[in-house]
Amino acid sequence: MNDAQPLLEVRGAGHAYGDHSASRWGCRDVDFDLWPGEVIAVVGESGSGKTTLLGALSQRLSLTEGSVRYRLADGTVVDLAELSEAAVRRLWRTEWGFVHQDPADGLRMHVSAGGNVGEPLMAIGWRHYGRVRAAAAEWLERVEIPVDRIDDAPVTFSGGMRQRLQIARNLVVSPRLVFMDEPTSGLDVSVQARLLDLLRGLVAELGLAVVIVTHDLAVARLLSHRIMVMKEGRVIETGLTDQVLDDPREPYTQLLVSSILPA
Amino acid sequence: MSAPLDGYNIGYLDEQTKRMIRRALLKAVAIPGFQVPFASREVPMPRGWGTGGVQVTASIIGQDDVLKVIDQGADDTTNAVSIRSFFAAVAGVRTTTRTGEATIIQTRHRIPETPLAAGQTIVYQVPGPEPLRFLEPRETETRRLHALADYGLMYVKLYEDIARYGHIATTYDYPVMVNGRYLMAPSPIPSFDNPKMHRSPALQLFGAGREKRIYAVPPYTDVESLGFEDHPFEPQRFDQPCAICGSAGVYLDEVITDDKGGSMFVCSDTDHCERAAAALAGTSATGTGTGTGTDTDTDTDTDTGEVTA
Repeated sequence: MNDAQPLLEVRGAGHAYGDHSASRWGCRDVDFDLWPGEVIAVVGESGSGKTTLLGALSQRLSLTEGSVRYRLADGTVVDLAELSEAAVRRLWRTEWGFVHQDPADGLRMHVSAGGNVGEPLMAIGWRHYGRVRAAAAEWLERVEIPVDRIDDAPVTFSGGMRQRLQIARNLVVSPRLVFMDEPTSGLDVSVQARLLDLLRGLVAELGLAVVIVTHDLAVARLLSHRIMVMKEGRVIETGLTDQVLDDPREPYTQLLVSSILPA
Repeated sequence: MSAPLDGYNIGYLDEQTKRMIRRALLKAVAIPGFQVPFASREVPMPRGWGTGGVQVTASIIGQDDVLKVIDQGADDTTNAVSIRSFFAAVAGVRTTTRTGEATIIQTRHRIPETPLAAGQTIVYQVPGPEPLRFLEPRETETRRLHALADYGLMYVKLYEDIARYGHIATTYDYPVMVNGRYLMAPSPIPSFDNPKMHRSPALQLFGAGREKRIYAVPPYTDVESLGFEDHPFEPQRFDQPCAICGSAGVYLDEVITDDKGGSMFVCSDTDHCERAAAALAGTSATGTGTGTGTDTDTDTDTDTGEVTA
């Protein structure tokens, strides 16, 4: 493993919605490097292009311009836009995870919790029921879901449990890079705190690289090493999390930081 | 054998349609288990009554063919009788109920007990050709999953069965992997019949009229029923033999005999049952020597399918 190279190298990345005559840039001119084990938060107001950027990085949306280079587990560096669909799927199955804001988007709501956590394992070729189930049970325990709920479907779970289940489903194959889109915003405050605590523990323990999109600066401060502030599709400020939040340079960032309501 | 019905093309369908279906069939045979789209036509029976099978049969039938049609194993049910008389009228072919004599067997929900031989063709009527449909409703997505051989989803279904019932509870339309590549729905045959598809010497064709798909398993192709290492595929088993002919190791139907809860289990394959019952009663009716042609067929059935005499 060569840790002297970044996991993700993003250069001039942009995605435009619509056809060529009437296109609208969702995000543009984004540059950054993500290193193994690093957590980077993308913050900004609604409509600033955070989710578009996440989509473009994770190949859910195509890149209209620029490039995203990814270093595979075997050390080779690939340009994501040049990968075949099958290769991208393989990445999703083995090296990447995606935690959606709404757990219903990332889970099969009518398949049992064990089936949900076991599916990625079976997709990469696990064919032993006992082992799949044992791995699923272990992960439920790690995300603090009682193991006796393993045969219950997520429709019977609370919001916080669903989100934890989605995290377990993403982490069970030991990914190297996880994308998170507002993972805590649908939850009430006390559940958010527990989830953040859990996420922080898992990220540190597994050495995950994470790109987390959030509008909640507290989430960014708690989880991330670095922060990118977006406005109108562009990155306007970037730096170490504490530095950006304690000493914001851009007027917009200052506004964002000062808009937090004190409890 | 009689002359085909006046005013109809042989086999009901026009020649261009038959060519179109044959092209789909050739493609299906070339890529075992792959669902080939085709322009399904109207035939004089409702969708869901075997229109896919009828179109496949109509496209391959010639006047030298001998046709057998079964519905749930039986030759004498409405669907089987009407399709058989349909082809007798529009194709002028000879029909039979004897599995060994038929060159084309159109079937709904069963594979005959008598092992199929090289040169025979079995045509399955398929209601739902997509094995992943109830797990993934989007056609674009299931096609992609087939293209990438991404079949983890199917195992989720089997996992759920084991988690809920302690064993794989799918007993019909049990998913199979064809030639190590394509996941295929074997049509709603009982899982009991799944092993008969594996390396069968007969050509197996599948037609789904409503869903407009044709697929095929060429002779001697691997057809593996899915399972887990610790919960392998197990075909259904029956504890008792057939109440009429005494055959064991065959697929049985429960027949209600009165309104006091009485019932009996009898062969679903009526052709097999008739011959086994005749053998049981003494072979004098067909008798030229101890083992006549048809009876030998019966006896060399599935590995346990001996006639208890």
